[in-house]
Amino acid sequence: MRSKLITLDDLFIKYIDQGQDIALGGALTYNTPSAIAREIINRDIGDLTIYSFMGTYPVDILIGAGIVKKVMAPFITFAEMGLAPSYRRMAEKGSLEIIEIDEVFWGFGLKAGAASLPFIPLAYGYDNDLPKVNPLYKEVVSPYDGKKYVTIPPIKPSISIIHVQYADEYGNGIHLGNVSTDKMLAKASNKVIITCDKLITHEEMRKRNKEVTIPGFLVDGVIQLDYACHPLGSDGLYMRDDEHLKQYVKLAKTEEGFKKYLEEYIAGKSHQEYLEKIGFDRLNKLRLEVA
Amino acid sequence: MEIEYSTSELMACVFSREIKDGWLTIVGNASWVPLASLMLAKELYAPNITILSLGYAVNPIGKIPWDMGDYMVYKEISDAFITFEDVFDLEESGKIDLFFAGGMQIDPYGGLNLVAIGEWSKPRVRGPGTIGLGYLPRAKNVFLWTHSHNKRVFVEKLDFHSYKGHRGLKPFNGPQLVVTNLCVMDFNEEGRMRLRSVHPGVTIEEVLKNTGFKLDIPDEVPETPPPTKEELEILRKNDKLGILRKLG
Repeated sequence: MRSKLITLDDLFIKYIDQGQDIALGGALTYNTPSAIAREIINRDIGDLTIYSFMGTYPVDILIGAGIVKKVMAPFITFAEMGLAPSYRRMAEKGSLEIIEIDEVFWGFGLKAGAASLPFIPLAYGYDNDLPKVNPLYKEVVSPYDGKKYVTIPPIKPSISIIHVQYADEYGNGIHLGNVSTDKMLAKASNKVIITCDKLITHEEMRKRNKEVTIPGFLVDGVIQLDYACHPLGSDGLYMRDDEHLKQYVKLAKTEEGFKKYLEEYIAGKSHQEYLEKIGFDRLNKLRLEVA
Repeated sequence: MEIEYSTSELMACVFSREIKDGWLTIVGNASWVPLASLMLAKELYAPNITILSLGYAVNPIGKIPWDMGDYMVYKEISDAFITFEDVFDLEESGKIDLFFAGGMQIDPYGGLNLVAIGEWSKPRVRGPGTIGLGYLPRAKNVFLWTHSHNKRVFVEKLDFHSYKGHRGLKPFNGPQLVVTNLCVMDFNEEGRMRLRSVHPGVTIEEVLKNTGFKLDIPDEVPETPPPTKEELEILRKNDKLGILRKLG
C-alpha cells in the first residue's frame, strides 16, 4: 500500500493555492491545526474561502492577516475568553464577506455534501433573519405532500484539513476526544489532509481499529507535526495555552496589536521556530499524560 | 440561619426546579449555570433526564468545567459521547425537550440576536454568529438565561433575529422561562415576557429600570425562593471549581 505521508511543502505544492476554499476541522479551542494557518499566512496565499464549524484562533489569524475573502462558520469566537478580535475588526469595517450560517446549515449542508445530494429540505422551516442575508437558503415544494420546505445546499469544500491525535502512514486517524464534525467534513470534501500529533505503525493502528474515527481511504495526505494545534489544545495530549490565547485576544483587538503579534510569532517563522519561540518548557507543561 | 449563596447559584436552582423528568436536554458553550442546574435536577428533581453538554458529552455528572469544551473533564464524568452529526439529527428532528440559550440582545418575545449590533453589513459589534440557535424552534421548550440584565441586552427590537421566539415558527412550546441576575420571567398569552419573581434584594423598579421594553407586571410578584440547603450542597458538590460563586 502507498504511504500518504507528506510534508508541509507538499501541502502547498499539491493542494493549497491562491483563491482556494479550505475547511478546517476541530471544535472550539481544540483539534484545529493552527500551524497550517500560520504556514498559509507565511506563504502569502490569499483570496481564501474558509469554512469552519467553531472558529477560534486559526480562523481569526487568517482573517487578521487579510488573506480571507469569504468565511462560512456558524460561529467564530474565543468563547469565555471573548469575541474573536480580528473577525470583529474586519466585519465591523465591512471588509469581509460573511456567509451567514448557523449549525443547521453547517450540519445539513455537510450531510448533503457527504452524500452529494443537491440539497436537503428542512421539516420545520426557517424564519430567522439568516435567509435575508444569505441567498443560499431556498425553498422547494415537496412532490410528496405539496408543502413548501426551506432547503440547505451541500457544503463541498475542495479541501479539508483535519487534526487527529494518532495516524498511520495510510491516513487512518484516531481522535482521542471530540470528533466534532470532522468525519462529515472528510466525507464532504474533495481532498482530505490530516495532521497528527503522533504517527503510529500500521500494525499498531490495526490493533486499535475500533478507535479509528477517520478511515484512511477518505484521506489524501498525512502530516505529522508536534504541537500542530498550539495555542489550541489537542484532546488527550496537550491542553490549550490559555495564557497565549488571552494575550492574542487582547493584542489583536487593534490592527497594530495584531501586526505586532504577527511579527512576533508568525512572520518568517517555520513551525519549529514558532515552537522554539513559545519555548519547550512551556509546551511540556501543557502536555497531558494519557495513552 | 441565613444561607449565603451567589446569584448564579440561585439562577441554577430556579432552572433545576422547572426541569421535567425524562427530558432530553442540551446546553452549549460557556453555559455553566444551565449545566449546574441540570446536574442538580438529575440528582434531586428529575433523575431520568439526559444531559448533552456541548452537545456531545452524555450525562456528565460531578464537575462543571470552566472550559466547556474540555474533553479531559468529560472523559472522567460522562456516560457516553455522541458525534455532532448525532447532535444535529436530534436537534433537527424535534427530539430535544429543553434547549438553553442566550443572546447579545433579547426581545420581549424571547427572540435572540447573536450576530450583529447595528446594521448586519457593517455592524457596531459583530457577534459570534447564530451557532445552534437555528435549532431552537425545533426544541420542545427553550429556557433563556443571562447574567447581564440591562437595557442593552433586553431590547424591544433586535438588530438581527437569530431566533424569533414566540413571534416565529412555533411547532412546539417556544421560550418558557427567562432567568437573569435580577429576576425570573415567563411569557403571557401574547407571548410577551412577564415578571414572575424578583430575586431576594431586587425590587420591581430595578427590573423595570434595566429592561428596555414594556414588561408585563402581574399584581403579585413574589420573591424568588432562595436555594435550599440541599440544593446548595449538590450544586457545590458538582461545582468543584466554584464557578457559580466566582460568576457572582
